[in-house]
Amino acid sequence: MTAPAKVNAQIILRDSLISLLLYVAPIALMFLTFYITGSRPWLTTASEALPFRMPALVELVFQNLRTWGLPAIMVAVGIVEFSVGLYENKWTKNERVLDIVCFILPKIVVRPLIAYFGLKILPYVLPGAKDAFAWVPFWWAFAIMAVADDLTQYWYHRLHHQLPVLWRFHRTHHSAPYMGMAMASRQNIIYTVFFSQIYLTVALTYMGLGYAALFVGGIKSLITTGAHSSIKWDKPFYTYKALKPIGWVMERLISTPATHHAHHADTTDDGVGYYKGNFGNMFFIWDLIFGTGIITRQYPKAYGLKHYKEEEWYAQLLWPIFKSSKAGSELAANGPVVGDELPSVPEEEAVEHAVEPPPVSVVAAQI
Amino acid sequence: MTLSDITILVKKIAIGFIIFLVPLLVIGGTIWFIYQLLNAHH
Repeated sequence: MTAPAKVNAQIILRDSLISLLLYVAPIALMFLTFYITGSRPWLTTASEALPFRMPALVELVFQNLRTWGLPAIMVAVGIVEFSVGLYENKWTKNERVLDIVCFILPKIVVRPLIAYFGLKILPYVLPGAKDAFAWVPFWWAFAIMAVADDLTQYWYHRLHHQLPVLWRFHRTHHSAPYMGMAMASRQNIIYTVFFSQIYLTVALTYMGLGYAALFVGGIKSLITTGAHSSIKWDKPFYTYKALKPIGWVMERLISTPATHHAHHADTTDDGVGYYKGNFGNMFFIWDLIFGTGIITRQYPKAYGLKHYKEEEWYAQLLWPIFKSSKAGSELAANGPVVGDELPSVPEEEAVEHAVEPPPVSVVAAQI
Repeated sequence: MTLSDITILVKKIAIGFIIFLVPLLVIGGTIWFIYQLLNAHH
């Protein structure tokens, strides 16, 4: 193992240990509250109704978010983006086919897999655990599920950038030279099929946290969709004085176009783009905690990969099952791994870099 | 697909499985453990 890789492994180990505490935090707070108040919710029958009422239309959208709700929102936003020319002339036929297939295919492939996992495998592996935690009050379940789902996705995402062996499974999401609804679900199919947080959510749903999981899933879908959009809806929060306090909290708590666009920039050298960080999906706070984020309130000039060779859509979708025929491509047979490999810096410099304060503390402190 | 591709795939699935299993055990285990602790106390 090279020196930078060793330092990187140590940072990953340290951060993963911190993550264990973060997973436990809402559970510990919940039981502490029960202890202080003398509450024992497991002694009462769990209610299957939500503890609040939503307007009928909002409830309808939330209930159907996983079927027609989210695709309908994405298509509507995509039409707005397209009609105001946000894709310019970068949405070529190859990109178009890739984006559309990536939008449709997971809905056909992943859902049956999840159903099989939830209905067949879990009852076999964990026969006594069904609805074991159904007594957990809704808002506590919401907190537990929000941390469980999004922190797990943070790690899945981060490791696909920081471990060279995984990078090419995630490369497809970063190859688009534009931002927008069209590329929000653009992933290699193997990356999508083995999304760890999907299986975690299904398992916790099986254990009785399903209502909260549904709610977390809905909010998360809206936030991640908004963060990928080429509509810079967060800009007013940095521009108008009255909105600035909200913007300050918002950009630290959740992913916004500014922070997530930086993650999709084609460079990290301009002080705006930062594809080596800003890994958060729903919550940006993970990047603050682990020092992997920057906040600049600016948007990159260019997106994608400097070394993009416009590989065939089927190679981007199905690598390593299908390879690209483009010479020098990362997705070609025996192609080089160019992407997010560790920089080849001297050992002393690498150690020095590793103990530097997180970039977010430097940049965000100026805002 | 070459042997090298299959190796990468196996590594990818193994890492994904760990990322799934660790939080499941930590979350499920913590709720179960404290629940047992509080119930044994009363």
